[in-house]
Amino acid sequence: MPRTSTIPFGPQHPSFLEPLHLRVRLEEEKVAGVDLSLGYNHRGIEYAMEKDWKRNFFLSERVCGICSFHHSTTYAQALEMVTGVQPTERARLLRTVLLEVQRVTSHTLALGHIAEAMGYENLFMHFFREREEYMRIANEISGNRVHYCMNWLGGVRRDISPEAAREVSRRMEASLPRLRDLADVVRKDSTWLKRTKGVGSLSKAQAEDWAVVGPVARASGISYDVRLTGNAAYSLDGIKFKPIWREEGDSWARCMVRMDETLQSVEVCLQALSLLKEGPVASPFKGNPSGEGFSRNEAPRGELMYWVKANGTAGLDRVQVRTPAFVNIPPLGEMLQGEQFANVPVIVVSVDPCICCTDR
Amino acid sequence: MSVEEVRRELAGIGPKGSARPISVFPVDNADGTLDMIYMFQIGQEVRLWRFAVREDQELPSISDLYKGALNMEREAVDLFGLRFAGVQGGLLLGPDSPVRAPLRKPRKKVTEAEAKEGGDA
Amino acid sequence: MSRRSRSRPRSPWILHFDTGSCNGCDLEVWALLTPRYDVERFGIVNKANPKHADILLITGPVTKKCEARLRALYDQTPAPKLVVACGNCASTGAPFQDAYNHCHGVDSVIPVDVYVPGCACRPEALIDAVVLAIEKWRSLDQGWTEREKEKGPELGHEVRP
Repeated sequence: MPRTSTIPFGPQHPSFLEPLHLRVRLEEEKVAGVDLSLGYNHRGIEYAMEKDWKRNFFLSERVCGICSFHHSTTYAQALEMVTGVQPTERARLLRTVLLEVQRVTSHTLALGHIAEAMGYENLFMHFFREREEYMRIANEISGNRVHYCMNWLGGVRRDISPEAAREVSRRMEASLPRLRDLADVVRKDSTWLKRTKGVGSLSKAQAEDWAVVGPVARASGISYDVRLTGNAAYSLDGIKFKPIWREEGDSWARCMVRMDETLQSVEVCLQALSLLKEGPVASPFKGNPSGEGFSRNEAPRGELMYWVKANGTAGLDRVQVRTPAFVNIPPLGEMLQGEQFANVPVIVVSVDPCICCTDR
Repeated sequence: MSVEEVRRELAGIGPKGSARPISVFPVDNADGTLDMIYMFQIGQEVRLWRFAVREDQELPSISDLYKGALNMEREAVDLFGLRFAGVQGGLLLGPDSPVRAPLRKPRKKVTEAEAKEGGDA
Repeated sequence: MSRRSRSRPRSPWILHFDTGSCNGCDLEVWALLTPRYDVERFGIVNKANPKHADILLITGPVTKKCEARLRALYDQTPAPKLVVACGNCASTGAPFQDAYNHCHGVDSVIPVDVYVPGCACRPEALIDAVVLAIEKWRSLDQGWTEREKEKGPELGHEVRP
């Protein structure tokens, strides 16, 4: 007769940064079932966004601090679809640079968090040291480490001088060898492989059933990336880009996808900085938007969608935010099934949960 | 247009992986009806289905076709007070939450002339 | 001062709890522990156990579901303890003032000792806040030296005899 127990992973836990409640039912040391309880991070942002469409450029950033620029860019793009305003070429490239810088900070955070969850503190410190460099690069371009506050309807709010662009390129190129060293660790280190290979598998059929997006989907064989499609596609600016995907579907594949995407993001940033030409940073727009529109963007965790209905006044009728973590977190129940209890933090963090995005 | 027709069209599209739910969400029209929007990615494009539902209508769920749509419907139950067959709320708002259906809008005020003219509002 | 109260401010252990923030301030709290800002040189360790904690670093406007948890964590932490509200959300709930599901700041749930402004609060401001909290703690203990009694009003807290 196997002994059963129920262990709560409460909202406050050493492994998780964010309030998420998991009730794990164990049989001896294996997980028999998981109950997920969300809502600890629900502030009511969709309600607050209906008040003022101009304030939303800043409020949308505060949905999540890790992918904040992606939120405000997607919101700006949705309003640009409503009003028909096209952002200028320089604005598109500056947005690309900041989007990819934020992707690097997010992926190094995720990988450092996974290292910390498996007890590999030294590697956690290494990832965060690399992350610090990109936080300072973001600070140099926008003035802020976390919430860049750079977006507006039709473009960006601040420009970057040619000296700053050269300095940023130089620092990014200097950081590439260190990031490649870390990629070698993720690919070959025996501790990392023992803790992540074959752990927390999600097959392609399950991934399609749960409609997962982002690195979780790309690690399970679904090669879709929003950066290839739509009117914000990178190819329209002349940037060469191919999505990275794998077929194994386990935690190691997710980590490798993120690590390779980090290196790819630095290359995309360098390409975008080299393509910058003189020009205005925003297209003009007057008045209030009216109509409906939506936009999708590839946030670090997956596809982010904003649907906006504007009514010609200072407020909006409806804003719907569909964040990637919202669809990536429910499959945890299937991923944790039958796993060892000690692997639960590693699997949960390998999905890169962003509860603030899920709950909004 | 209704949820059953959306289900029929989705079933006719092809194997499971060819359609992916992006979002399933309501929009309040402030006159007693809501618009349900089903946004799917089919192939490389985005397809939207949109139709009106009444606030007291119980809608069939698509969570048997796509498990990922379950939480989207639960969110609609919490924030708009809709009802879906076999779907319970409680995803975002706790059972003792002081707010109920916070994204519903107060009804538009109907003037007397409009009330005499139109049917029920 | 007793040996215990002399040593307590030298190595305060922290407990970090996110009550519904956007994670910006949480990542700046984690950035404190990492090589660039390194608060471990102050003896500060992030222990997630409330019974081991001396300083509580709270981020986020307290959402309604987290309110009871925050109060439980505060009650479980043994005295003397200090509470630092990190960021604009935790201080007043300001960025989300029109949202419905939160309590507008940590001080509506538990008493707060230090408020850190910023959205997200910068790691340098957090280090300043922890140092200010430690100074405040020193002042709460018995047996002040003459110099400490003199500096107390400068730091803005009352000197207890």
